[in-house]
Amino acid sequence: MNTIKQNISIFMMLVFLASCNKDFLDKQPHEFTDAVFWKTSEQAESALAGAYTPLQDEEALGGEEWCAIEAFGDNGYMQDPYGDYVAMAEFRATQNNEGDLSHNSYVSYYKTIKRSTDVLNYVPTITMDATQKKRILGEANFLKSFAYYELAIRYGGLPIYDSKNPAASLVRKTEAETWAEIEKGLKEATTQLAWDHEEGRPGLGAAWGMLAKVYGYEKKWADAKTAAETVITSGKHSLSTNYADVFSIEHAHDTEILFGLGARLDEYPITPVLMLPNNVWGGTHPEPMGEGWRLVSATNAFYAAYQAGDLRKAATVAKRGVDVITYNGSTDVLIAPNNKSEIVCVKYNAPYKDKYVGWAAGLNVPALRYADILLIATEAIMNLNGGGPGTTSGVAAAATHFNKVRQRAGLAAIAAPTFANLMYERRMELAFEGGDRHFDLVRWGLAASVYNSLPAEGSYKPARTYTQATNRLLPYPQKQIDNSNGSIKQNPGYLGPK
Amino acid sequence: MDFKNRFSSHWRNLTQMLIIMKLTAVLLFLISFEGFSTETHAQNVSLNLKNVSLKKVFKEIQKQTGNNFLYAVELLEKAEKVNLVVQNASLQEVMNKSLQNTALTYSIAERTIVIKSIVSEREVEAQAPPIFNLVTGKVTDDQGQPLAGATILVKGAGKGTKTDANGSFSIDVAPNSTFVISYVGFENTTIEIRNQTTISVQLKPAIGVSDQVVVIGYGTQNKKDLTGSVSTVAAEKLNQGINQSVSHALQGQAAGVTVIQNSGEPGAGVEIRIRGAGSINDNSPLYVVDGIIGGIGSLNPSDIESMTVLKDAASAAIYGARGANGVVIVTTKKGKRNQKPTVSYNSSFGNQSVWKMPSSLDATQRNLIHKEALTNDMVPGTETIWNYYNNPANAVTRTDWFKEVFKTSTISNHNVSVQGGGEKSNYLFSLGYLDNNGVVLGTNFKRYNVRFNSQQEIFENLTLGENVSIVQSNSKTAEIRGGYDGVLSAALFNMRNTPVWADQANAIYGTPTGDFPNPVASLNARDNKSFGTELRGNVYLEYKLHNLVTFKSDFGYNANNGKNTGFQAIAVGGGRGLENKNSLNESRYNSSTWIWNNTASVDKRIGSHHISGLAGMSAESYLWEGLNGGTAYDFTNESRALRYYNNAGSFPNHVTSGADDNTLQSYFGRIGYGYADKYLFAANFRADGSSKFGPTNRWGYFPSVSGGWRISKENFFAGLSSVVSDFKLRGSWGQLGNDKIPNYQYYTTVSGVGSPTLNGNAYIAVAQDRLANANIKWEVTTQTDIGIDASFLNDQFTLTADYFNKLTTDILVQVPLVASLGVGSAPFRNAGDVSNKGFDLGLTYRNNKNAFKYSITANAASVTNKLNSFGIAGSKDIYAANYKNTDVGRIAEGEPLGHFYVYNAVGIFQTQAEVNAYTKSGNKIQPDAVAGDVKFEDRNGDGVISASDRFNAGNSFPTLTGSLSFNGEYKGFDVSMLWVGSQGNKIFNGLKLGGVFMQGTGYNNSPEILNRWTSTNHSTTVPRVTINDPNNNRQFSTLYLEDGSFARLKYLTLGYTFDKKVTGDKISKLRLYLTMQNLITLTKYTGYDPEVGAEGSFGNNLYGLDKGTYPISKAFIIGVNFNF
Repeated sequence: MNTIKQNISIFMMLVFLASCNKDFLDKQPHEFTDAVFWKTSEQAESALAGAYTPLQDEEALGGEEWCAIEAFGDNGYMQDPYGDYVAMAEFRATQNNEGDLSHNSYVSYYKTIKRSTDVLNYVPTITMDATQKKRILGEANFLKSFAYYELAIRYGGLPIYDSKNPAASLVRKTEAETWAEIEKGLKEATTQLAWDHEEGRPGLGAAWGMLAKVYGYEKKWADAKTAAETVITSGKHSLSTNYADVFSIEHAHDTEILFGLGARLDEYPITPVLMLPNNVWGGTHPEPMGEGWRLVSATNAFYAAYQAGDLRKAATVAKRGVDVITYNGSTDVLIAPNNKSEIVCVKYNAPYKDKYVGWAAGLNVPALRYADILLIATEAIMNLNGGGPGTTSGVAAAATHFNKVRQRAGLAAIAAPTFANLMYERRMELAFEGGDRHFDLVRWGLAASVYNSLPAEGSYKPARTYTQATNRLLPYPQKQIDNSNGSIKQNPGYLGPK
Repeated sequence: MDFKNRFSSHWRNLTQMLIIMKLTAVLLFLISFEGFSTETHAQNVSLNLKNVSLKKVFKEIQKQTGNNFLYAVELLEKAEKVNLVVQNASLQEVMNKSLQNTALTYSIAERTIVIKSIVSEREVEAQAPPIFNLVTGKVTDDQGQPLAGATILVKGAGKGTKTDANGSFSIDVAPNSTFVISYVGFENTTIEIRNQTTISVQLKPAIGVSDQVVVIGYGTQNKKDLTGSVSTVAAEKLNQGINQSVSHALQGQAAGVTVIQNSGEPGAGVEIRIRGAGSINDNSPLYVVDGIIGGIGSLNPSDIESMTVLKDAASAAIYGARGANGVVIVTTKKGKRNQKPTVSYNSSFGNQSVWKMPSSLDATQRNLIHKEALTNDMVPGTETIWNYYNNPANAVTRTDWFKEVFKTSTISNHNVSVQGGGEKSNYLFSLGYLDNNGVVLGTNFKRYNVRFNSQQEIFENLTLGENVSIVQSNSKTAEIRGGYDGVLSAALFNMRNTPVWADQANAIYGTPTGDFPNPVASLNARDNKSFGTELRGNVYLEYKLHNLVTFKSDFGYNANNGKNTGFQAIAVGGGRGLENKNSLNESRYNSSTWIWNNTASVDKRIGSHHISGLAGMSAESYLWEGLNGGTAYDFTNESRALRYYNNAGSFPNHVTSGADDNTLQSYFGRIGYGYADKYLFAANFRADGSSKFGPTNRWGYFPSVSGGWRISKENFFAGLSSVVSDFKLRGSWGQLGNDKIPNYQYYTTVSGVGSPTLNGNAYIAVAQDRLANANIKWEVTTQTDIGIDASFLNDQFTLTADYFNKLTTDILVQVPLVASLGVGSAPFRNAGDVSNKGFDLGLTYRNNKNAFKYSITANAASVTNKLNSFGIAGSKDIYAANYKNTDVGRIAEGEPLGHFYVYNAVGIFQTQAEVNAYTKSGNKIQPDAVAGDVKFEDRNGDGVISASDRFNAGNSFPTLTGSLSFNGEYKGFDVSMLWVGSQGNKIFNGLKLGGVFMQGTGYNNSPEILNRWTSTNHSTTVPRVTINDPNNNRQFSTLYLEDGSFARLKYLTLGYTFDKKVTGDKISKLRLYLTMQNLITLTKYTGYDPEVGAEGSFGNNLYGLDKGTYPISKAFIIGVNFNF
């Protein structure tokens, strides 16, 4: 017995000492830590892919907010009762308490900004193929500037992310500083990207094109002209033959798309369903009901604004009881009884023609098109020739670029287009593609005169009062002001810290 | 037929039989003299008798304690009269005293005291040989204290004696005799006498004798010695009926322990909160099962022997790390030594239904409301929307969606166990089966439990034991709470003119007009299943060295395997998300935890000193690995047998997998000191190292002290002893830790972030999406507790009351970041402090004196919670608990954690004049309002209604939680019931959005909307109906908040136990019962159920956000308990 006792005592002692292993409490995450990441070209590629991901979020590029922003202009209206968002779109909001579309898209764009910045910081240190590295840095620069651009046109000056200085994220830069940052990234991208690019990625055309658009916002017309014409004269891009083709899966590779968000079936983005009414045939043909989101639709006024013979009309809108559309294997007159207006936006309906294929129909989102660049070139030339907003004289020098867009739409060429002609082309060409109509009117200073004179249309598009000093920018997301404890300031004219 | 005579003759026969049985029993008792398992009752006796017969003494004892006496009349006649003066003495004390000068002894079995001659008749016959030695000796207890009145019987000699007041005895015996020494409350000890003339015997306390032993951390303690705040719940007290889990069974049973049912869904979890919420993160207590830390979710409630809840810091301190939210210790049933195999079979079966059937507007009412809304919104008659309402086919009510969704269903539970033991071992084996079909169509939970444990004394003082359990559970769940897919919201919001089936023969559902699916289609088409297997066990070795130090090494292991599959079939006509594609998602996981505890403990009484101590260490390691297969689509055949990825048509996603692990290492110690059972003191210390913190902050040190004073033991208290049987004052102070945050928070990681489509394909994407904080450290809770344990009138009344003050500092919190930092989640930081103050109270009244025995127990608890400071410069508010993308809760300095933060609706504008008069500096505060709209308070007085006008509109925590239970028995009948309730808490009724506030023409509404404001109905609570809602009536305001107070009859049980005379000797118990669960619910709350669980990303602090809770069901259950 005594031996047993002794043995047991010794055993117990050992037990007490056994787990005093020094490493026992060291647990490594089962993911890359910063210390072991950023070493290979594959890691650089996957980190760059990480910067693309937020763009396909439900409220970001091609998502709900991107579609809903059309309601700020005079082309569309919000069909869903997102009260806070509608209040902003009707210029009634005193704050931005919209926690869904507006706030989530803001969050998504900043994720792209942060991740692109990380790529720009770390990838230069990786030993890898120089061409590949250049492309990766170029794409990161483009994505970063693109995301800042989408936020800047909405909110004005922005916090500029700086990985070494987190405090920078708590303070908004001025609008000029923000645009300078956007410009800087795109300029760098023009030195890094190549004309050839994969679907879903930007190439040199996108970098120059985006830069042209940014110069347009900055009213740097000579630079805008140069940048736009760099794309035009490259010979790498051209308009698709038919306007409607641009919004089809089959033409995803057309060179008209300078930058488009890649889509895959059943995943993201969900742009097509956001525009689709939830009862297209009103029960007259079999169709899956409850599936169309009908977040945004077009106004009767927009439908009426098309010039006769404009081929873009049928590709963009359809009128209840009048227009024939093809959906889910049926071709018939549109009914859509749940649509508040008589007009439905059909621009993204192509994937549903034969069969309803779900929310994520696999259609890429056109984020930057060659047609847009042609019109920016037109606008730059007009401005350089005394033909800016508010003018009525025609500018013949702008006709070449201008008429490429116009003629594809089946309309007669104009020898010396006026600014009003340009306004029409931009509105009809870019309708329901991320709110260009509204942002154009704002930067031209014409929003008040256009919006305030519009009569109410039905219960869904009331008469609005736009004030340039306040409404040229959206109210800054309130949650961000709150989370910064007020160091992020509100835009002029809205409630909050100034 | 002469029924009466027949009956009485039967009765006579029965009585005769009973007398024979009684005598047989006496004989049996006498024959098996040594083998009595005895049991004390915590009943004290006071006597003042002079020169009376023993018979009279026994009568008096019987009266006071309810124990029966069994004796042969001749025995007592021989005995001399006695004098007996005792005050509040234990039953044993009184019995020993009364038999002190007699040749009698006694034993207690099943509340019956059997009086016997020391020398049994049988032994008299076998007279001993005539050579004697005088043997003297001393009998002591395990602590060395002398035992007076212990019986020494010389085996086979027909003689015996008793010890005197010093525990000494002397007796003449023949050589080679055997002594059998017995004392009530101790195990019998046999000693062989060769040639010794002096012996010393130490008796071991009998196992399981006293119901006052309380399981505490790494050991047990007598309840009277406790200095901390501890609640115990014995198995027979656990909630009756069919309890899905141990936590369900604990509801209402212990003061200060709040059990919150998140949902009535089969298989859904339950949250336990002990004394409020200290942390902003996980506030769930630590669970310890049979000494091993681990969850209790899968335990079979019928395997539970007892549960102990350690509430204050001093009690929980031995668990230092993670003990901050309290500790629930579960002890499972074990076999007993020297127990013949006993089989218990418990089976119950019942049906359950929703306790309240909700309703929605029928088609005509819907038409009325929606047309009125369109009119109010001035929608021109030309708009097509009117066509729907003008179509007479749409005014026909075809469906009551709630009746389609909520069904009466069956629930059943079967348990069988076998237990027993020999002299050196004991065992238990049990099987359990639960089948719970939920009240929501198609939902189900099934669980199979197997448990085995045993204990063997393999060498002297060396015990080996183990517990093993295997659990398998299967459940089929429904989309209950989904914002858009939730079937309960769908039942409310779907139009009732839509039929369930448009064409049932061809399986075409009635298609909803709105955004919601047809709920029946959703329930039928979505096949969401989870399957889990858990193996859990521990094995331990216990060695007692020189009867002084007990070493124990206990190794526990827990392995979990599971899979979740979600298959969604195509439901033609089913609406949103159901029409187009079928899909499958499958994920699997396995996890394992091992934990090794090693302790050495001492428990020693020297004179009046009682010293105890414990030292130990523990190591624990956890690993989880999971794999998610992603979603696959386009199954050409939906047959159940083919619901695997191999049969999918398309598979656009990547498979993902990951792992999660952590370790914990701890050293701990406890010392206790008691003097004369009067002055009690204990101190604990624990050091914990957690892998969740970086190397410099890894270790936390958690001390505690506590003391108790049994005032009733003081001499000056003696006069009160007839009223106050026991009175103890307790106080404790201690610190505890909390590391309940995700793993690896001090590392910055680069992890998978979905996959973009590049060049047409899914592309692997990673990002650094989380910021790290290398400096995070333990969250510490300091708790002070003052309490009393008292009992009155011979324990008829018992009272436990505690006041506590908990201060949690360095709270671990994710302070939300600005989005411009570009990361998805904020790092954990140690912020300021949270205080929880309150009391808990438990009161029991028992009456066991009469044939009708009953007890009433009331528990009540109250906690006041406050975030004292955020502790981070510049941070003041965290918004929490999002509903439909808008926060409804807030965490802010100086306010209770988790209060509702909404606008203050002060009424309804009754006239346009009222709108016009509501101004600030001449400007209308609500310029868009018209008569019938909600008037919001401009709290900051800036003349506009904006986000800064929201305020603390009410607490989601109750001011008082409580329970009331009643148990009674009368001649085999038993009745018991439990009421639970809460008072003073608010619930945010999320379904009012859509239900009472119009959300669009796609939504049906609840009947409450019929009381809307109109020019003729001047409602003050329901605004005018409008879809455009320019005044934003539907924004979250106090109109959504409702009083969440409720009282619920958790169960009412009626049982009958058949008399043994009827069931015979073979069957030791046969009881039939009827239980009604959740029979009555009293509440003003209008939602589905007032028991609404927690929501929100910031911990589980915001309770009462109701997104459409799966209601708790009402059940009628019949059952049988059968032991043989």
